[in-house]
Amino acid sequence: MAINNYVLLGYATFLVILLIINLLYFFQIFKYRLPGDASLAFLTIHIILVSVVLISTSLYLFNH
Amino acid sequence: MPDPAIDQIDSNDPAFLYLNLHPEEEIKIIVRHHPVGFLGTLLIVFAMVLAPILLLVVFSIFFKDQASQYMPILVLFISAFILFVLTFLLASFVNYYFDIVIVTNQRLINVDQEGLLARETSELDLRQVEDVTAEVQGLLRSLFNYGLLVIETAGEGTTATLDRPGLHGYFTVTDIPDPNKVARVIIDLHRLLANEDA
Repeated sequence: MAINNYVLLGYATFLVILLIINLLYFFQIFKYRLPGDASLAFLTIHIILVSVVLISTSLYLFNH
Repeated sequence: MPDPAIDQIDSNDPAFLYLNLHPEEEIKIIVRHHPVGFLGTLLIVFAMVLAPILLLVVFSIFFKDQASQYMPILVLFISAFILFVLTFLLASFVNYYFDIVIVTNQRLINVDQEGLLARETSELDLRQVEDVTAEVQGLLRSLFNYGLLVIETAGEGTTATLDRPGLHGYFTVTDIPDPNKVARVIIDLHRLLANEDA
């Protein structure tokens, strides 16, 4: 079963929904974080992990 | 331990604007839930991440011939699943970390993050405090010294302990680190206010 356009469209739609949910949580964190708390550090790690997953998936699919 | 320390909190910081502090109100302590309370979520996330990796390993061992054919779609599926798990972790972290108890010299403010864009803030005038109970029950709670803080008030309370007998309200905060110390701070502040009023 190869990856066709419909599968990619489904994946892209899923990514857009996740992006919106993530942005809403970013908004919460920036609005309600307290001085010196760990929320920004957690957010940075989250963004790095998401980037790693997205980049490695893209690289794999590009090479296969 | 209540964190940060009492003299490190700047009550005029713009981050506290949403609390609408009174002009002479000072924040004494800020308490979040104990990190051990978040361990359960971390274990669930760990299991969720491990599952697709195991699936990938099993697939490549038992379906070696078809692996190259199905692998791209499997990778896409696993990628989507891990992104979902990371978002779930972020959501759980926000729900856990943004539940805050703020004790000022006049009020106790309990901020309860209930989910995406849902936030409940309840407050209690320290003059209304009648009795403060700290409960540390169970192995983990005893080991890491965190537990329940139940504040009996003259007025109406909030949350689960409302069904306890008596006419008074109960204001309950769960998974508080060192609840005995927080209880002592609340009682001291209550006494201070009572002395000022007298």
